[in-house]
Amino acid sequence: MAGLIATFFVYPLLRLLVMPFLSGHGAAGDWPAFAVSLLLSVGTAIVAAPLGALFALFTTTAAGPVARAATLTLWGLFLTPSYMLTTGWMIIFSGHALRATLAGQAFFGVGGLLMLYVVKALPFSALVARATLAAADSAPAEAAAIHGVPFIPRVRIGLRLLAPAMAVGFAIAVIETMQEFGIPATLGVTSHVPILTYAIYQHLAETPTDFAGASILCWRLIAVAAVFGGLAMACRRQGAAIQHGRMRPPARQRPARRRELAFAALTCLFALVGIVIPVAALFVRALQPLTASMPHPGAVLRSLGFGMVGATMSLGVAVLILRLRAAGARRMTAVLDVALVANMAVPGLVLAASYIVAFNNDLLPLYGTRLLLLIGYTAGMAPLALRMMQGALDDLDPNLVAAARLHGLPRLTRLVDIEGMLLIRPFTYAYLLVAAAIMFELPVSELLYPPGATPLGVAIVTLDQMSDYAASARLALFGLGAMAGLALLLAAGVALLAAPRRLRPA
Amino acid sequence: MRRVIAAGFGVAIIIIAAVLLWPAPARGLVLYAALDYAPAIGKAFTKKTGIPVRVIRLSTGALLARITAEGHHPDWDIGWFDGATAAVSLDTAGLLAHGLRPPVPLTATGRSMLPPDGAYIPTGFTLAGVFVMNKASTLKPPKTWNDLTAPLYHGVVGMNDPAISGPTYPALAGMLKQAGGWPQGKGFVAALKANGLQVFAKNDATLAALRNGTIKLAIVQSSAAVNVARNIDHHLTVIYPRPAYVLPNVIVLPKGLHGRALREAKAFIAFVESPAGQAIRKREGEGDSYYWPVTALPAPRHALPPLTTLDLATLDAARWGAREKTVLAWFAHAIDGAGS
Amino acid sequence: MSAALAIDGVAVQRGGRLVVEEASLGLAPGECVVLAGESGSGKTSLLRVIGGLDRPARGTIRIGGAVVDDAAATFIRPESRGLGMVFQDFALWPHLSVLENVAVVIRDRAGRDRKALALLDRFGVASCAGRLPATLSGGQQQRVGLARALAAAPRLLMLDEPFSSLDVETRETLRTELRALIVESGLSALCISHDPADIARLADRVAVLEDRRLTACTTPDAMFARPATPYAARLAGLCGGVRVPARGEGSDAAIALGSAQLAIPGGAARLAGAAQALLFWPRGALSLAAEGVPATCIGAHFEAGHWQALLRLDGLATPVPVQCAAPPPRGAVALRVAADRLHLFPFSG
Repeated sequence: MAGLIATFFVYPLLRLLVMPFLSGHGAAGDWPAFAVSLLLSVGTAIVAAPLGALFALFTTTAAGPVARAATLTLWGLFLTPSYMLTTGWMIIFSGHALRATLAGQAFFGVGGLLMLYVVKALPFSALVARATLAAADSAPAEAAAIHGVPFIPRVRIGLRLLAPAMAVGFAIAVIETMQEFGIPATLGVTSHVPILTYAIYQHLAETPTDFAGASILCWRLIAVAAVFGGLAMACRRQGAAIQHGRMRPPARQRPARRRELAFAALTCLFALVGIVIPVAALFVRALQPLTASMPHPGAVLRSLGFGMVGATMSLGVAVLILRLRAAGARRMTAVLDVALVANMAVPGLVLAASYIVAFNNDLLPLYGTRLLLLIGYTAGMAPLALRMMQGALDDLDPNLVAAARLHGLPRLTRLVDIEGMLLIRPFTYAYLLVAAAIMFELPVSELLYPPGATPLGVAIVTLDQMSDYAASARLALFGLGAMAGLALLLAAGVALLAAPRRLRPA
Repeated sequence: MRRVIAAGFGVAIIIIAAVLLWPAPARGLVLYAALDYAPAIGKAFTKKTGIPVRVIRLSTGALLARITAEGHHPDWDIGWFDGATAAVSLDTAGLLAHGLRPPVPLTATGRSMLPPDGAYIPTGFTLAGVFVMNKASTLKPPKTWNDLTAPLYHGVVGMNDPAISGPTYPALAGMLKQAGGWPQGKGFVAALKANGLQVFAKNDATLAALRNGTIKLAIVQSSAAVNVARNIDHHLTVIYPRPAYVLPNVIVLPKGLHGRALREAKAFIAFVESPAGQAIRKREGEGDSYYWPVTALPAPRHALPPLTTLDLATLDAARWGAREKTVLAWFAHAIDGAGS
Repeated sequence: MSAALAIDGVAVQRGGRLVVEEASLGLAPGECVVLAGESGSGKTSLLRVIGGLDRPARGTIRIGGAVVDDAAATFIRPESRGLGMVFQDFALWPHLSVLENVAVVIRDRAGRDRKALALLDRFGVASCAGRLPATLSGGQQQRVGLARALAAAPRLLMLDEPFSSLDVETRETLRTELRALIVESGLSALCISHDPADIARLADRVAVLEDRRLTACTTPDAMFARPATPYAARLAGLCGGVRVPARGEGSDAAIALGSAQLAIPGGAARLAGAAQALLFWPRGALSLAAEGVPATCIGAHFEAGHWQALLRLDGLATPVPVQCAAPPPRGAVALRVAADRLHLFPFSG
């Protein structure tokens, strides 16, 4: 395992990051892209973090249909690929009439970027804030209510409790926005705004390829992620100080009418902007008459295949790592923790760039092969898979596994009938999430795809660049349909697998 | 039952992985092509010679980026795309085989495109930038490049992004050259920007903007222009500026190609330049078929005006190829603000 | 015949810390040993090591005469040790039906379901065969757990606080059933518990794990007669645990019980110079009488068929419970003490 991490993570990254020092020149003129990206990220986080914390508080404490709708909306925003969201809005503003309006002008400038960034950052902030709040105690807030504390001081108490969640949400929003590639890649030049991730991509698309320039930009990207990642971790610890023993999680209650209405409005707004309007635009454009040729006919199935195989590999790696950890290998655990934190700071774009540098040689001539693309997907998704399986394994009662061993169940029976079935639901959920993430993935795909085997995300963005929105929309919707089909198939499989054998009548 | 389903899932994944990762057969040639008739040519060549050709279609920009990224470990045997300047960039990076000779006699124009070191073979040419407008437009059609800086064209002119669209850099180079070269020509392009020049990703995007009314005049490659005016939107008309810059489409081979692969690649080049090959190129392509040949015959497709009616100019591929990175960087920074 | 279980000099570490030192214990075939100890004393760690779920730091473990773990090269995996286990939280596989939970453990596939059903019937839960464990009561789940453990045809049955999650009524019933099962089937069993009732009803012998060591391994009646430690005294069912001043007088020990001084024959060796002692006594060793040690009755309660009076004695911080036939009046009373039946343990504070 250590060998795999070294070969496919440490070595390529070191090779890329060391380039500016070896070649001696760099991208001194790229500071505007860095500065603008940082400002946009902070601006996004300023909007997304408090909203995310409020959504988190609402969805964890409120009962009722609005709370359920809000949770669903957050997940919908989280799962929608950012370039699809962008494509949908570009279809709307591609018409001359709308493009000439103030809204159109704003969309193709900073305004549009901010809107799209906020829509994508909100679910990240909310989900992270939810995790922070889930460990919080309701007693201080309840005490304030019972003792009749006036409104403003009560708000202040509430804010004090919400502050760690907001701070963590802020840091995550900055990191995710800085690392976001799909939105600038789809908007491309039409947005007139320099963006760091897109600049990295452009350096790699130049002739000759400017690895040193790309590397310097990667350093800046990683530095920002490291700084804000550290802030996130510090805030989590600070949040833990507020908790104490004998804590009770807040009980869900139907919220006050005004509060419920306010959140209903917010939920509708984000659902419309982030899901309904762009997807409707995709649908409408997709229904236009078919042109003579259907570009990239194999992209959907190909990416679905990569998603399924990549998810299998990622989850396999995750389970292996977790087993090693459980076996108590302390040094391995320390190495893994460092690798996971590092992976958070290193986005897929940088990892893929490092693969271009590292695997284009005689010893490992993997560049341009489907194998390297698959490895890139797996390396990029392994931490997500790990986090999801960790949660599932933590929830698993160890006695259930011990009982299987002690009662002499054969290994295959233990693996399939006991452990496998106990983990089948969380495993399937993690599998679908990772498979979807790979299927719709963009930066690694963009940099590593073998010529002639265009992945779905690349195909959609390429069609967007040709303003062939109809074909792009069709591909997007077919892709979503294919993933939904896979989800249904797996759900049916899980239902079949998990059903206990019925006792046959004697 | 559980084991059957689990085993079935496992088998399915293995099959999918095998299908995805199955290595392509090593025999034959790998052709990276940015021209739409390439698959037809590949098939015909295989039919004639029995040599398998795996044609991989990429846009010019992606093709160049891919060749550059593969560096000295090329997975390709033949590269075929628009732009001698791009070929010079690849050659400067030391990626191309030298000493290529045209297999058939070329016209004078064709001979003028040959590089001294034989790093590429021209197989035809289009024009880097022509004007496309609506026939019914009230806008006065421009004749020269300088006309575009007039107030009457404020905010209605669009062109491709040379950083994304491979064939656009020569158009930009041409604009700069006719305005005094580099760096003197910067003023002209800056004037265009001041006059509201809009930039779109590629030919198709710029033409889509023209058709939906976002712009009134598009500067695109001649093949795309003629194709849209002839076959897609009969309301559009093509205007050939004075001068119009020649944009060769070229074939390159990777450095180190030798033995059988080299022989087969040369046979391919010969087929491409042959009358049979050119007939297929005229017939089977879409926009790319609208090219002027560099061999003695046959005649270009009907929609193309005779060369004698055009004011043609050429670019010094070596000089403009060498400064491509600098020019593109300046363009991005000064004109559209995206990237470095 | 070789012992069902023999552990010799076994030490167990957890998180780098030694939780069991030098434990040695033998289990004869058909015997039930209850391993008792306070929470965190290492009982479960020792059980896990016997089961093969963890490895000992030192020592040897034999099951049925064969070495299964010598803390070195020899290690037999848990699935090959011929064990059955009943868990405190039942540990039934929630996605399998009750029948499947038992049947999956039976090695011989032929007639599996039939054998499983027979076992479930033996424990009175055959009617639940098609249901999922979550739909059963705690008592029913533990019966299924017992059936499952037996279905594995174990050489050694291990039980980890099997009744602590159950209500009093179910506990009583299951204890009796389990004892009958062990006796009738001749099964060897190692049961972890800190419930004196489990010791009383199940144990042929009791092993006590205290302060990382096995301080006793004796029959319940021997433990009752001569408890080795205060904890053993508590487990054996002795009353008291009262702290009194004490000193040695020759070979005897003298304790101050209220205002009276009592001599404990042969108690000096036990006291080993300590100035305070913990006092335990069997029921009846202290009783109310017309004359004796002066005390004040502050209350009484009825427990398990007897009245218990609560008496305050001078100089003692905690009141002393004393069994009596009828609830005594509050106020001054006299306490008769059978000093030769008292058990004394040194207390160092």
